[in-house]
Amino acid sequence: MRRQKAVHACLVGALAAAFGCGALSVQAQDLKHYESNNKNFWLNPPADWFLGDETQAQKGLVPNPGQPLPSSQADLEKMLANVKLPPGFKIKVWAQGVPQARQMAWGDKGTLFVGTFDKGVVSAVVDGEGGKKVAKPFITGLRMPTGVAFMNHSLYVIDIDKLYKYDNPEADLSKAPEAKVVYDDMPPYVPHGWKYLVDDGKGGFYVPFGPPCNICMPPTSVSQYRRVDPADGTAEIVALGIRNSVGGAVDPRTGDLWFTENARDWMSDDMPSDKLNHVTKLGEHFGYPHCHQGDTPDPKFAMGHKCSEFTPPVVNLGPHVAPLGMKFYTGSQFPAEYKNGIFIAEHGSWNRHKKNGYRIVFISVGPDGKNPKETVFAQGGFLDGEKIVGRPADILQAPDGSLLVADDQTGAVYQISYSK
Amino acid sequence: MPAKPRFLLAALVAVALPSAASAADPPASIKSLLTTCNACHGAKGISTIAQTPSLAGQPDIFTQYQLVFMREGGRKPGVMAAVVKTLTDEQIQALGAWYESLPPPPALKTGAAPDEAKAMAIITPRHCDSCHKEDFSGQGETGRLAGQRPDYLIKALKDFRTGERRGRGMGAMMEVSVTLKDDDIQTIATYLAHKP
Repeated sequence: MRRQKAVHACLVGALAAAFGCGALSVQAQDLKHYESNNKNFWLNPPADWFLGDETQAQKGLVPNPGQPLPSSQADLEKMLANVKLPPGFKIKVWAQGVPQARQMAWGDKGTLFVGTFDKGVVSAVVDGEGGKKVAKPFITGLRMPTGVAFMNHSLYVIDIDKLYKYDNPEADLSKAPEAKVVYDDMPPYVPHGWKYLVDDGKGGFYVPFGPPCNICMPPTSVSQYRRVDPADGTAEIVALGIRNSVGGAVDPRTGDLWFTENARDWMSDDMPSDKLNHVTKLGEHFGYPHCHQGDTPDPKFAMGHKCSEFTPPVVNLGPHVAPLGMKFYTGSQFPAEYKNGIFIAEHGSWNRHKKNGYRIVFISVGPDGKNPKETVFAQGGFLDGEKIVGRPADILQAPDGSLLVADDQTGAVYQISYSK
Repeated sequence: MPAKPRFLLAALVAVALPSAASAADPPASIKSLLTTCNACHGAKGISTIAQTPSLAGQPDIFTQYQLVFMREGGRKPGVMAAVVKTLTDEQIQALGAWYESLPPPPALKTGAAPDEAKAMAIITPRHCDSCHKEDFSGQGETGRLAGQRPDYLIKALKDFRTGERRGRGMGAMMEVSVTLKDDDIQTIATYLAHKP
């Protein structure tokens, strides 16, 4: 392949020389490069904007194209049979055929609402025949409704730059109520513009805003978390210096916001690490784009800053593991050591030769963020060698204290239960 | 004693002979459906009908996505409307695997001669090879272009150019096509059709 490319490049170069086409650049066909530090890029990104910092060492790596159709029940069971859990825990299919399943939220009548990535629908999962769960498209025609939440009898869906509210949706699941836009003071950028809704337990949502690039000096409207009040449409910035976060939860012990963060690509297979962060005061800055993983200045965007100026992560989760949805465990089904600990869905890597993530990890940590301990909770099955089979995207506790896991590769929701 | 070796020999022969028939057999879920597909797309997935694409050698995921989009509304089905309406998920997955297993169409050897330099001048700045690969054989959700019917490539590029066809996700194909002139499209189509 390399030789073929070299010959081809030489041919083009020779022809260019022969015909005096000096403008033909052989380099253009070599590494993908986009200048992403400008408004034109953010507003009109090339469709492969995430490839624009390609390096020779990591050349050719591309994101996973996903699966066109949800995996069958048989294929799911085959995969889950290979998932290793601690003793006493079991995992099974809770709902098959939930296309591109992302953030999940319980209605107050037992419906599970589930977002999608670019499929543009929000599914409603209900009881079907023979005790099986059935998912149907409830809201359609959206763009990237990755974040859903349920609060005060209303379903909330966040779709890039619009926060929609649907009142009492479970009254008639055959037809979604009319959407009300309750907040839209948000930038239009689609790259890293897909979001998550963190219920703050006080009537508001923490909402992440990602930069419209891999690494750049982002517009001031992004790279942050805001607290949004859907009742009156007001908002305030609560944390800065954040890259792509698609998961967070409030610590039941303190009310503090904790969030996962995907670090930049194209530095190397092993750098920098993705993060678990803890917000302890308003306006805290977590480093991006100047500093990564708490201790690594960016080669281009450090801009004279020292990493000591910023808040480091509580845990460096590993390079390219892609931590997404997370929740604090508050149930009684699991053994006591899991109480108030954090489960994180690791979606898994694309910018790495040997895949990383594709599992669920558990973090126990003090309410002050001290003494974090990370253990792998569910691994295996999601990866078959280097072949992607499943990708955990979100975690949600069920009323009985079991844990639901959304998988946007297989289009399914799993249930992890514990019994002695 | 003589009977045993003969039995063994027969058994060995039965095992050794490659089941050429079963290697080419589509799964039951699409066997009769393929009669409909073959009528337009060709018995071996190589189309002899104008404006109708060859499907042989297309990446599995690509074919699946196109059928899903046509069935669910991401792509106008046109003449495919009646077919996709009743396709099951199982059939779509089987069709994807089936077409990927077929030998791709041979490079065109007739018609207008391809102009590689002119084609590459159009292709290079658009980074077509990033998704379609350097040999244009496609991968994942991106279609195989090498050896495709030139009249279909022209139709596809024109449809992307006008937005009649959107392509997946953030509209990469629309974006690279919007600045193509008719002559560019002809040049690329001829070049790719002749690519082995």
